[in-house]
Amino acid sequence: MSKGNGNILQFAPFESFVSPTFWHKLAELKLDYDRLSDAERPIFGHYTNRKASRCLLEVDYSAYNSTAQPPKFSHAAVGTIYNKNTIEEFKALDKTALLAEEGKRLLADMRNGRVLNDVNLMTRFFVLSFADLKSHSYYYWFAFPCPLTPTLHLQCDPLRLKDLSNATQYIAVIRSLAVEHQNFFVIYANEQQNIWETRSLSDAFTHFDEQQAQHYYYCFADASEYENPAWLMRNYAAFVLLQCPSLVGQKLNFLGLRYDQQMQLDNSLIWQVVQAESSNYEQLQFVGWEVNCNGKMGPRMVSMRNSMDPAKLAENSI
Amino acid sequence: MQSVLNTVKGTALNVAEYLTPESKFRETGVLTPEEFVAAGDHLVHHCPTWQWAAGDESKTKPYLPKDKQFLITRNVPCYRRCKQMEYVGEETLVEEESGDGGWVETHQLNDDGTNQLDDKICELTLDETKDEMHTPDSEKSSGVAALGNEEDEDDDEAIDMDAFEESGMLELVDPAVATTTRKQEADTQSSSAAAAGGAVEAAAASAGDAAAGGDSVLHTRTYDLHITYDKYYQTPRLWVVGYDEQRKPLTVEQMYEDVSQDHAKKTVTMESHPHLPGPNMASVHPCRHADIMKKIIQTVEEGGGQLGVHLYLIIFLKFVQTVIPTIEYDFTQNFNMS
Repeated sequence: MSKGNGNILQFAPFESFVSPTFWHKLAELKLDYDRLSDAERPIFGHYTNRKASRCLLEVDYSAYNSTAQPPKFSHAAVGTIYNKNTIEEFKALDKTALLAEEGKRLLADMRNGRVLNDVNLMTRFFVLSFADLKSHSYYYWFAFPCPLTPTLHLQCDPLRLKDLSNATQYIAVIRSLAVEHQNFFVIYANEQQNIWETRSLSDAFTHFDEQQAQHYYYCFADASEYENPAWLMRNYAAFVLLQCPSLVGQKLNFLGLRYDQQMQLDNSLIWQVVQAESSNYEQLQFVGWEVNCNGKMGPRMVSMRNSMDPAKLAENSI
Repeated sequence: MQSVLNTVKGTALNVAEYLTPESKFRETGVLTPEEFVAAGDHLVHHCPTWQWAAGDESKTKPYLPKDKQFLITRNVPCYRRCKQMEYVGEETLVEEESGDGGWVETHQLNDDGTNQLDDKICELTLDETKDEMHTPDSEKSSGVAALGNEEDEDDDEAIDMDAFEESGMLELVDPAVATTTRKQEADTQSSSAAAAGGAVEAAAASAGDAAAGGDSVLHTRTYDLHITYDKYYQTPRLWVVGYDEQRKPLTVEQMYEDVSQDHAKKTVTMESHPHLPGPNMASVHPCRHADIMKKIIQTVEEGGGQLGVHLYLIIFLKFVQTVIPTIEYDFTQNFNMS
């Protein structure tokens, strides 16, 4: 599927997409509430698998609300913002340590069952930022933490859902589940007994039946427009293998749901993968910092002068 | 000047945000917050691209349910600019001496069925449109000049972001990360337009673009539409936020290109959104909404019908379409005027 990497499954990294309202709300919170405190804040993001463009994770003003209310056809991602007080702190912070700390939290959530109760916790991100409120410049760096587990090997080229002989059955069973709950779930597809049903992760994994594992399709809302699945599938695969270590070496079916404008599932893809070696959870490293516009490891900066600077606003007002 | 008045009025009269009155929908065309929620539920149920939003929690209005503060539909396509539409004469300007607020009527709403353009009216429209377009404001914003300006001003703030790059972090080898490159931009644009609107619309849009000066690039903008409840006027209020192809927010002047020239800066004004942080947003001023609604109710009742209050927003969206004729939002229902 991609050049020079044999049959290793590669993932499309998330790209951050920040609405200006995200910075407006951050400025308001910093001035009115946080002031000198640079304590971390929980935030929410969202991504869509309907007519997905690139592989975006978006944040806007609603990120700071106490409950997530993702837009229609979108799903919530769970994040944290570390907004530093000075550019020096922003620069000097140990980025590797922060990523490792966030990664360990993610792993702990996968282990202790929090993910089973709230599957949104699997789609994780955090933002390191510095808001220069005087010049209206916002420095920021997104990361999408993910454990660096052994690679997954593709057993064949990705299959299109619509090319399956019993595609209609899959589509019917997917449609039986409300779109809001389609971010992570399992389809149990037993052709011999003609059973097709969806199961929540907590149903599927609380009493995992290894004899039936071959019939499982691990489904997720795929935010990627590319042939590669979205980054969040990496955490999903890590979660499945953490819950059921006996699946190491077995073939796993992942189904990335991709809707088009008309809400058809024809472009959805299936990846059949095997993780050959088991993970060493004690020594796990984490990856996920976003590259900047030049493809380098570095933060981004946005100037909000045109919509925040009172002088600018007066100039442009009618 | 009108927009200043509107702003002043809007702010000053916020003080009047008081008691919830009983339903006066039939007599005056206004809505209570409860009726707004009922009409919103109906819209969300019948037009699934619409949804309720909570907005910024620090701006929650107590007279509306916490998770039903306003309605939103996102990524509505807008294939061409208003002036293209006005030049081809799909819209007739009706000068009303009666002072009915200067709403523009489209052909679909004309009862007499004439769709021949009166040449004189047409000329008048063109002249006026040209006048509008040569205001210093719009000139400043149009195209290259504005770009140059912005770049000049931003130059003094140039910051070397390379200095922030951290090379050490790349040492960790991650074979499972894909290098994603998008297909040819032109490729994706035409295919996404075709997917979004169907071949016919894409063809129509590119034809429109070509007519507008040999530009073969499809300038598909997208809009987010919000409907809030205006406590003072007791009517719904429409807000529009536009984005270009790269999903970069449009400037005010760019957005005015998608507003019927007759309404830009008059019916459409920039004001602060009741549920969102950030700068002022474009909104269709609600001062005429109740009157128009009242007339529609009367027309329906004269025809022996009855108009349920739950249909309010569906009708509302039809009449605000005249203000933003090129923004192609869903409306799937028809209602009978007689």
